[in-house]
Amino acid sequence: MSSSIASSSSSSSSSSKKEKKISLKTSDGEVFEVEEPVAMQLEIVRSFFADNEDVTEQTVMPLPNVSTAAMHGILEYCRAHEEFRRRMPEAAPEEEVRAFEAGYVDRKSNEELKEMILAANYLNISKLLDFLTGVAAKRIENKSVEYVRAFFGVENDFTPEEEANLRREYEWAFEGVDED
Amino acid sequence: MMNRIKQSLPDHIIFGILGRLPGKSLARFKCVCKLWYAFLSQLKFHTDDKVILSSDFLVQPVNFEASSSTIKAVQLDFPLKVRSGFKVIGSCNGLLLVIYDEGFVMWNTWTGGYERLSSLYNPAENYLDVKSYIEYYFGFGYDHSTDD
Repeated sequence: MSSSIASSSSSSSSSSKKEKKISLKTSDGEVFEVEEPVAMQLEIVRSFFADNEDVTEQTVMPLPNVSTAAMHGILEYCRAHEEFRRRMPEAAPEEEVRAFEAGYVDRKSNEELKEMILAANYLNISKLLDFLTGVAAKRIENKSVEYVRAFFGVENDFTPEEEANLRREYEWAFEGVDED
Repeated sequence: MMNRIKQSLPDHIIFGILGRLPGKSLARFKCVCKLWYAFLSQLKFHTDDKVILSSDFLVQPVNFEASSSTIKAVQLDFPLKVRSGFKVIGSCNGLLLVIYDEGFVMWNTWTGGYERLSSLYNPAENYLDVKSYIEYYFGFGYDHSTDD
């Protein structure tokens, strides 16, 4: 396997040896040409190519549960981690990874975050799924019951009396909750 | 513009997210809906990864993550109003037996639930006098037949 350059722009344009690319097609029909080491972080892709002997480099793998928007987010994360791995094969510098991850999720809305969690779950990227669910937990930790219902799209099926009783019982847990 | 459909997460992912939250959030989120109430009410501490450290005003469960050798301490909020501090007398799977100025409390640090054990102690006695020797007399018992 040739060592490939993970960054998407201005990299190997003039290199004579072409790096291997994997073609992935999203639910809305866009085809992404992804560097092999990056694509192989997607467990579903890795097993697809490992288990099917008749697929070739020209095979376009369909990913019907992943939108183009989610795919951009997924690849940004996987490319950054491939870059860390390539530069520091032993251990990625913890601080640099933290800084990247913090900046990475700051730009994502709650809807985008949920969409990416679904995609990471479907594509079976355990590291990313673990990271994103941790981000979701941080976002709701100090929020109100109403905020969390809206966040997850959960219907309140308590009667008003039942809910009032529960809120009384857990009154101490409602102190210091965020305003929004 | 992309047409983005609001998608909901499957339950196993939602519960995975909830599993990362501290007890205070979990207690509050029992009020979200019946399914969450049922799920959050049956959560228990894992027996092997928590150690409780405490002083008179502070309780810290410490998670030892064997794989990464990192130690994480989280401060817990005691659910009751306390005037003169409290002391942890015993602990078992995240269940603490606590004495404070109004008597004994069984405190489930995982769910935030608690129960006063009024029959054990007369609050008229002086708390500070009592707490100095009381820890020698109380501990946890476990009844296999009722899992209690």
